[in-house]
Amino acid sequence: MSNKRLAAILGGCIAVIVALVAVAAFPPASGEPADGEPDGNSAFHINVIPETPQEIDGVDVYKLSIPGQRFVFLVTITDEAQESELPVHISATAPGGEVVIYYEDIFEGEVAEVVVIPAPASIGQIIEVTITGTRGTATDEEVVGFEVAEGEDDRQEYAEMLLDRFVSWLAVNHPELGITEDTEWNGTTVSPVSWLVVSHYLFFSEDWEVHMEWHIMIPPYDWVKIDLRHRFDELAPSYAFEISSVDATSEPVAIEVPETVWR
Amino acid sequence: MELTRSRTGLLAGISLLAVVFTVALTFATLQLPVILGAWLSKYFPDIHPIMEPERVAEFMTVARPIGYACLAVIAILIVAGIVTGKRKLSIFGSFAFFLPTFGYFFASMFFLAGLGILRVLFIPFWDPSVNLMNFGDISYLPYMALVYPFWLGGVDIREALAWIAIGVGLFIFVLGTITWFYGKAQKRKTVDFWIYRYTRHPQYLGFIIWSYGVTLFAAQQPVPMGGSNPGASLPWLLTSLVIICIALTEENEMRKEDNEAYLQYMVRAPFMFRIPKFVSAVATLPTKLVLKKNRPETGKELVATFAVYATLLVLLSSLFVFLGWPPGIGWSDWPGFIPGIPGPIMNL
Repeated sequence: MSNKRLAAILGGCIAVIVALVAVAAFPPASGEPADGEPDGNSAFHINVIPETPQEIDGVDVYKLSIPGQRFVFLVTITDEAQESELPVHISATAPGGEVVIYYEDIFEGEVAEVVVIPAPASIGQIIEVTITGTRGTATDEEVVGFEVAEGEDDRQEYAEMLLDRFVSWLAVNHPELGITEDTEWNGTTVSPVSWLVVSHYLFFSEDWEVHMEWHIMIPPYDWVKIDLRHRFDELAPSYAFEISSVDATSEPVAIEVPETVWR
Repeated sequence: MELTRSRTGLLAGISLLAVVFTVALTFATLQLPVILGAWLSKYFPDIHPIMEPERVAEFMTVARPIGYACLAVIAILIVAGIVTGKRKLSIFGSFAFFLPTFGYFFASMFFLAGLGILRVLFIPFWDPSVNLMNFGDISYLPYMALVYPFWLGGVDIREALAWIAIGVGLFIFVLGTITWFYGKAQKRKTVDFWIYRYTRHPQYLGFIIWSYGVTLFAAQQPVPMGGSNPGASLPWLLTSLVIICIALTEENEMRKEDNEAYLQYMVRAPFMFRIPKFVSAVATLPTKLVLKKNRPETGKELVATFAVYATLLVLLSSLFVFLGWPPGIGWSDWPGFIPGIPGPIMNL
């Protein structure tokens, strides 16, 4: 084979590959948005989970919380026109509570967390949370709320003991989750008042939200379940596990994953 | 009769030895990355790409030139090995090019954390603006063809398939190596017995199947938040092509050394494994069109053959890239959720 022929073949191959890479890197422009708005201001809609209050038989029913609890709202956006290259900035106000926002700038498909911690002075009141998204001149707003009841978190210690059982098992059996015995967790009570037979608790690590529920019952009915949601990119849990009996020290097993997060 | 019995015993012994080595190497394939990853994470800790983009940018400033330089050195090794016929250079280069695939076994948000630091070599293909790693996705066709029918029946064989490929690849590799040593101890010019009756290059075939299993495992790994897993199909594709070129180089040398005997052996045993004639005709068509002969014989012809096949396979893979397939988060999630099974799990 002559050098000239080899050069021609290699040149042709390189040209094809460069063209492919160029098309992948710089896809053909799809034009301006239909309404003529510049990309930085393109319209969007804000979505908040959970929906609270919910209208039941014509009455607004609010979810409950207690002072010091962290009430976590999940916020996503839906682009109304084409997907924008700029994120939406999320902010929130909640008179009567302290607001903390995790992952403030989101694109479609990402999840921000608006955390509201009710103050003791708000007992008996409804805390109204106004969540606002801003991108350039485009804004959208959602108002949600929850009721603050009297109570204290008396389940933390037991919930942490149960979590340890799952964490040590997950570290060995699901290394792909990145959960180890060194993973740090912050817990908060959830549904603190209305659920007596089944208790609920939420734990947050840097990456995961773990919802735990356990059955306050004698063995062999003393089950405990967890479901895991990947924070900031998932709206619903993606894994779930159960210990069928805590006293019998059963091993966790994978179970059907709930369709929604618990609040 | 005695001789036959002793040969059968020898073959059984060698097969047993191959099984033991296969089990040990399969375990090592999956366990060593975990141990090494835990150790390396002390030196290359995880960084949250969304929370700490500045730290990622700072790290990439240092890592990017290193990645490009390493890749250039490996490319030079491979090409020099093929052109000069010094195939050990090419073998070393292609193995080094594949090695970063083990970085996928370490779950991290930042792709260069822990064992992921090996993937510094993939930086030229793993740029945030254009991800070239998927330009080898045509390699997943056999995986898709095997997984999908079972998935339709509610059975998840993804992880099992990767295990099987790793085990089978290692078994063929070990058996080929033992057979080759045995043949050389008998001072045979051409080793053409036992596994060599079914493939002319059992070690290379074993490597390709083993590395395919590793690539499948890599593609199946989910990543923590902020991370991504584009898979490692392109490195596997290019490595396999290089290995095939090396095998062709070896055959050219064998034909020079032991022409008649080797030609007869080529008629009896397939190159890698037996395939239907029409598939073989389609697969070798580009060589015939470009070189006007059945196989490359010189270093230059091998380079040209490699370039043409690499380009064709990248072209075919581009369909996956431009169609954005598979949808969702990629191969780690494909073909989707099976009730009761929360995705691929690697229990070690």
